[in-house]
Amino acid sequence: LRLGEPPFMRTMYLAYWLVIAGGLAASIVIGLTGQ
Amino acid sequence: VRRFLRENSLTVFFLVIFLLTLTAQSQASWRAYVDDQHAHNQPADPYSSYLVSADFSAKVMENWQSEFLQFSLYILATIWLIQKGSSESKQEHEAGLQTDEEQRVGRHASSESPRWAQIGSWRTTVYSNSLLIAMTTIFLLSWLAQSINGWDQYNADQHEHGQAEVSWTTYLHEPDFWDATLQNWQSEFLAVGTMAIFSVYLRQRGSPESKPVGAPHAETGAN
Repeated sequence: LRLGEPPFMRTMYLAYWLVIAGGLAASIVIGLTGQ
Repeated sequence: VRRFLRENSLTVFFLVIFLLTLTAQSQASWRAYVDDQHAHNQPADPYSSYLVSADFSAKVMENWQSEFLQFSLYILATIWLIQKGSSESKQEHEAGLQTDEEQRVGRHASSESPRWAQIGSWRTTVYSNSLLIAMTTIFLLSWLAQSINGWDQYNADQHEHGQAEVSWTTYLHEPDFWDATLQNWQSEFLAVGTMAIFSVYLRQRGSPESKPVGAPHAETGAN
């Protein structure tokens, strides 16, 4: 954490990345394995 | 926990309603699919299988791509384009990428600035565009995912009707793909343009998306 950055400020940022990356990866795998 | 919620309430709220509506969408979508299968006297997959089907996946990605395109374009267009009087716009003299001093990069950065803003070289260039890079990458990947899942479904349909399957590149030229794509784009573009011009004349007290209620119509920018 950087100086002055409140704890957990990065938690939501990482949560959003996780949801988006998970969704994209799952969807691409579903599409490709369906063929 | 209370402090965490207080400091992150906006993103927590949207993440929660995203997960709730995605779940509700999957339920409604599955029921519609089951009804359709029954109407054709076909067996229907259970909910758990439908969740990982190309049908559901394509529907989700179709909407994702248009939302991320909307924000990517908005971030990009508002660098140079202006709407006088809009809370969403910069003022005329601020148009463009602005100076290093205004943007507090390189030797104009402070010790509190992000490290990649201070450092110079390619890292500062990348960091200077990181929001647009991230949103555009998500747009392109979700559009790719939409196309792969749409292709999957299209071929399943072709197969069912005794017609030849098509390649992915052929599918990209099919009206089916562009119908699913453009029906989402048009609505995003209308909503964005509406927001830019409505914020000139209309107000929402307390919202950072609006000018202060008493601000003159010609006053540009939220601050």
